[in-house]
Amino acid sequence: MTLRIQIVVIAIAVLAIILTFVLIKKGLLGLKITLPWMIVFVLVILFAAIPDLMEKVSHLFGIYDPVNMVFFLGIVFLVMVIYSLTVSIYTNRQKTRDLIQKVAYLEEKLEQKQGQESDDR
Amino acid sequence: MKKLIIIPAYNEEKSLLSVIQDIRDNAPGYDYVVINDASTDGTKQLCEEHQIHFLDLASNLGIGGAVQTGYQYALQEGYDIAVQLDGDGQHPAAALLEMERFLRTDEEDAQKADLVIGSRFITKEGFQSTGARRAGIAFMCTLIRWASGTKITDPSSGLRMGNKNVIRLFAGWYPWDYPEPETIVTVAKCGYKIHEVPVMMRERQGGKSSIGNPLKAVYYMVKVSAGILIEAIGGKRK
Repeated sequence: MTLRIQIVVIAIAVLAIILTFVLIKKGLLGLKITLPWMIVFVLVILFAAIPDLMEKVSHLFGIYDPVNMVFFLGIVFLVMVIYSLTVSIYTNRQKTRDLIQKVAYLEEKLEQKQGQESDDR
Repeated sequence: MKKLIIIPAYNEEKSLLSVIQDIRDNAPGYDYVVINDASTDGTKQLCEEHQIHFLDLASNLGIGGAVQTGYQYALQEGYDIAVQLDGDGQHPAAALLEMERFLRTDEEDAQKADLVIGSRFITKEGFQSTGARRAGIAFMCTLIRWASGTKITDPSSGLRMGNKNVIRLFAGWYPWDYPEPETIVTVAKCGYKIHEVPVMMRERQGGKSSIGNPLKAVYYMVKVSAGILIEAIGGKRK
């Protein structure tokens, strides 16, 4: 790894951390949901800053080329994130359905009540 | 005894009035509620003009969510019987009294069923659907019998009557789309009895089938088969 690419990678990761921090402060993101990303950004900085580390870790996994480890772990991470998004989309769909159903019921009750009141008068 | 007809309606302005009239003429003693599933035609205005009792879904939920809204309404309002009847006019209201005879509404009637389904295919009268569709239905019947031991002739029928057990079950859990076949397994799994009654159905008067093109038909078969298997495996739903 050349010094230049090291600096570029670290800069991107740092920018991503700053962006996440700003979005959390603005209330556009929550800490819980962004924590996995934060960990990934920190790991990227670590691996970029200490090239030897990547070599050692990949040998630990039995992978000869550190680049392959990056691809492998990257894909595993992305699949995990996408799967958890699928779960959360379904949860949200279900919650929205509950709300729509409840609103329809309450709306009918309200109209019924208003109808009764205008009859009373 | 309180009895409710649930009418899911998505863009049914052409047929809804005759469905309501049919109910008023041929299903005495029944209340009804139309579930307007965020129709984009004049279904809602029609209901308001003709003082048709309806619940208005703020956003389109599809057939599963609409029908479930009806079961939840039945549960909240303390109905003893709830029956789903399509808004497109293919189900005759006159069939309800016959179906009701087979429904168990008190504990003693052990012979009777908790879910009564109106079937096109017992006496094979009335509108019978097309060839490919019939083949799909035969496959579903086999799958349901294998998965739950229940013999059914018309698993996709949307004319179904449930007692309080079924109302409670469906109000708590109901699939999103094409819900009928897999919920038969759900009901059987809970130990509830299912019975089919022959019903003469008409060709739909308005609206469109939800299984319009071949791609949707494939999706339908895959989804329904998977649904039946998932319902069959593991514990019962609460």
